[in-house]
Amino acid sequence: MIWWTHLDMDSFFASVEIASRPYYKDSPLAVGGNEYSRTVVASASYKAREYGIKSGMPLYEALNRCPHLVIVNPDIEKYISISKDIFGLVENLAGNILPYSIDECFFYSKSKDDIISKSLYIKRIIKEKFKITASCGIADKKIVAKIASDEKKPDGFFVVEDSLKYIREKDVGDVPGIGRKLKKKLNSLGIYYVKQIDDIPFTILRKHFKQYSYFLKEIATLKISDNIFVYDEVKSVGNTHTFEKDTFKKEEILSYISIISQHMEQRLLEDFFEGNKLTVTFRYSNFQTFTKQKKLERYIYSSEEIFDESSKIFDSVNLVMPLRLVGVSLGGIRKRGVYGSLPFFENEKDCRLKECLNSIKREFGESSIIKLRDLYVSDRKIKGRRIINRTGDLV
Amino acid sequence: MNKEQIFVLAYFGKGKIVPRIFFWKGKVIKVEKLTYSWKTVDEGGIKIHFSIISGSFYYHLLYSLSSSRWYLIDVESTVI
Repeated sequence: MIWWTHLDMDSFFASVEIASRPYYKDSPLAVGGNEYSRTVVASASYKAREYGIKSGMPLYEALNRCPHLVIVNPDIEKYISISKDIFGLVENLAGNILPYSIDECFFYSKSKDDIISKSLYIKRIIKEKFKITASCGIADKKIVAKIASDEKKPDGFFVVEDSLKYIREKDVGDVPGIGRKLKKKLNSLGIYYVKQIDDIPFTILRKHFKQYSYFLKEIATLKISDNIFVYDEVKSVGNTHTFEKDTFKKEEILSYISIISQHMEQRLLEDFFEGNKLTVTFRYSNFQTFTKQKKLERYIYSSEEIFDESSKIFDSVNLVMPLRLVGVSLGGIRKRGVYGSLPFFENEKDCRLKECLNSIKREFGESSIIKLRDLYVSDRKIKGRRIINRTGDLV
Repeated sequence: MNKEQIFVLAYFGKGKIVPRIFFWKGKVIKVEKLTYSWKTVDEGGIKIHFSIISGSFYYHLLYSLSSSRWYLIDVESTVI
């Protein structure tokens, strides 16, 4: 039998900041943008959680709940560096590791006693070396180990002796893979606990949850593969941008769509992906959100194509209120090249232009050369500079 | 604040770099507590970051391994 440990760093970003700045130890602290920006809380310390502050909450709401909340700007490079060091340590001590996110990983052993002693030792070393705490959940099923690590947070340690009995008593919302919407749907059918899934005939589950019915059945009987957390299939690639101020300006919105398209291209090129379902998300100032989707006749991956198609979608929308957020995402993802040999770029001219642009960026920095349509965004970062906008007028 | 080059007296040995004293704005600042350190890598090579407390101030120092230069990245008061 294989025993799994799920190791989860407690409020990771906030804990790292408190370790760097110990004078914040007794203050409620949140990692996020500054109080005037419109970002959300990326991580909240346990003191902050006492005020009901949690990850994903808008900063202004967090400040309403706790006016003396200390806000620290995120330093993602720092968190990545610490995460790599911790995962390196876990790999050395446990002999194996399956990273799950920046602050979570699994490791395994064939012996229960061995995994318990290794987990306790790793927890202690993390605390000594990195001055942060981690919680461990141990079980003979990965999904159960993940649920168990939440059991005694922070600095928790929980061993599940009987995985099936344990998971069947859990609220359906505690199961990874069952999100808010699915939980609501399950609740509407009278299913609140995992064990209740078994009471529903499979044909009914299938009718309501389609392909998800198999997952639900597997959860209830725990006949689930431990591979579920190994490969996260990429279904879409995308990004969103929240404007500093709600905006109606077409140039500004298009500029950000352009920048998002470039980020998407980078990711798609890195992973050799292409997609054919383009979705543009709009959020009005009153938080009302809607999306427009378009199924493309061909698979795309370049920023130009993503921008062109997104612009067409944007042009088809009549905004009735200023926008708070815009997002672009490309779905229908598949590996490029597997379905026929496509040229890397559409034509030789494009290819040469891309190479030239990339060499300028390498030599003089990422923002040394930009597309005309991105000037709006660049100009906002360079205060007081006068530029010519897309239509040729001085801004 | 923008990163500012500074002079630092540091201990290099046993695979460690430990800043002891640094000079900033005409003052000699003694490192009282090194609270945290971490590594980042960018196009300029490996950078080692240090969180330092001296008196009632927190300092974020950076040492570039490729240029052997020290920089002050951030200063904040530790008084809450």
